[in-house]
Amino acid sequence: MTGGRYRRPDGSHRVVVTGLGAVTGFGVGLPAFWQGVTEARTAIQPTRRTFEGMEVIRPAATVAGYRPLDYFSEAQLLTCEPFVQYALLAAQEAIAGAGLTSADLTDAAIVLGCGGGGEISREETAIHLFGNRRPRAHPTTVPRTNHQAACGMIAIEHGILGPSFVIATGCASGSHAISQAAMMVRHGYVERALTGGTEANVIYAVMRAFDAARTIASDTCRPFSHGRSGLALGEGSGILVIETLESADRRGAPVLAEIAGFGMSSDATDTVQPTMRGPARAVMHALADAGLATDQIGYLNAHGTGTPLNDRVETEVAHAVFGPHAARLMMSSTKSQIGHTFGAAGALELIATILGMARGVVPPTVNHLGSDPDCDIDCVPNEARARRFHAAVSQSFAFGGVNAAIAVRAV
Amino acid sequence: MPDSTPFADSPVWGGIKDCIVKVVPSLREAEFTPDTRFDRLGLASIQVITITFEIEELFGIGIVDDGLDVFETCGELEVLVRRLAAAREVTA
Repeated sequence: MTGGRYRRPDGSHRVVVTGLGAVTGFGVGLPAFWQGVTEARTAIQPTRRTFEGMEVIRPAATVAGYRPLDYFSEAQLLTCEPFVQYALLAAQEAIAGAGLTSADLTDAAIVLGCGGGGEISREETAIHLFGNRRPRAHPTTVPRTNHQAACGMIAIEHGILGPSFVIATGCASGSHAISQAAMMVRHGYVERALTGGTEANVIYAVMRAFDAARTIASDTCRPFSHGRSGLALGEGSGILVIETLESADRRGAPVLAEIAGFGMSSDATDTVQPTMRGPARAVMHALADAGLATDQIGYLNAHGTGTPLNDRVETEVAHAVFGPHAARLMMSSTKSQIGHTFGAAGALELIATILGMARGVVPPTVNHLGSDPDCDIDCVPNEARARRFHAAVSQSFAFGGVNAAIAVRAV
Repeated sequence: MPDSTPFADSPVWGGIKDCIVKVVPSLREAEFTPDTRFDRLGLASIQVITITFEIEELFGIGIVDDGLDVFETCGELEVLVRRLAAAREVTA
């Protein structure tokens, strides 16, 4: 009887991660991402966007040295915005890492998070129609702007015929997508899935929009630090291959971590002001679902936007959920390194968590100037830390008061 | 009176060629004749639609609106664009 290893206590499948792919401000590929994380660098820099003599410069992490024609044909680029391109590249890397062929993926699911979709084309179309008062929109406006283009192109590229869809819950999209995909694998709807998130909307209009919401940092993103002033925009994609442990063992695939549990919740309080009860509820659900006690969690990858309010509330959440263990919990923000990648954030931050757990390195919070009494947690400031941990949580909270947390465990 | 300007020197064709290259930069060095068929250029349908859009924008004409997006060769397209552009000038 193999059920003991392959099944959860309720009889459902154990779900594991066997492949990872990343496109970030550090460049294309997982090695560039992990090198940037462990070297405690930041990809955030002053980034300029213009429109007809108007200019805005804000901190952002765009994909370093990215040249689309190095990876895609002209015909592909005509209909694929960068958020789709990044998802395709990250998926390719994750599939290769998992040792899967197209034949293995025929029935797989694709569940991705994406907050904005084709914002670049939306901005260009608005300029064309309303600014230039032209009568026709560009013919590729629809295929370029729809969120699900990311799923569709991955399916086309790899011959995947299973269910595919996008979850759009802003900053929590990636975490929600992974939770949903894990649920589908856990309960046998599919044996494996490609999941994660993607985003590329560092454009003039988005900079102005987040400016207006007073969320962008004056200089850079400094989570949990004194002197923090807000978030930095980011772009990229993180994709995970997840499958049943039984499938991974059968294939002899490398098991990087178990998606042990997930929790989702709503604040039901305010659309923009974070509160403690919603996030705390998501984390507690994730731990309960995973069957993990609070003191088993060695590391928590925080939402960590770097806004004054988020980081204070997130610290309160840590104390409320973990109690005395919060003092020993290592809790850092990858957003200080790659910016806030919105729909991709939950996925990239979970990938950093999984790699850290697999390699015995705790991702840091960089740009940290010194402790803030409101954030009395160990945020692993400015240097990655060589330390083994065997279980961790990655959490994401979004405008609208929607939250998701994922608990992972070493296998 | 028919325009006797050679195809390659036609300013209208020059504009059309710019539109083609804008959408498909790799065709910059390609040789075009009046008989070059669009279906032999290896273009995806969305590329042809986009080239048509760029031509409409450049010349201020409505190929699709007039139901004339049925050209097969570069020569047919050049004649069509020239005719629509001339009609537009008369109307204006």
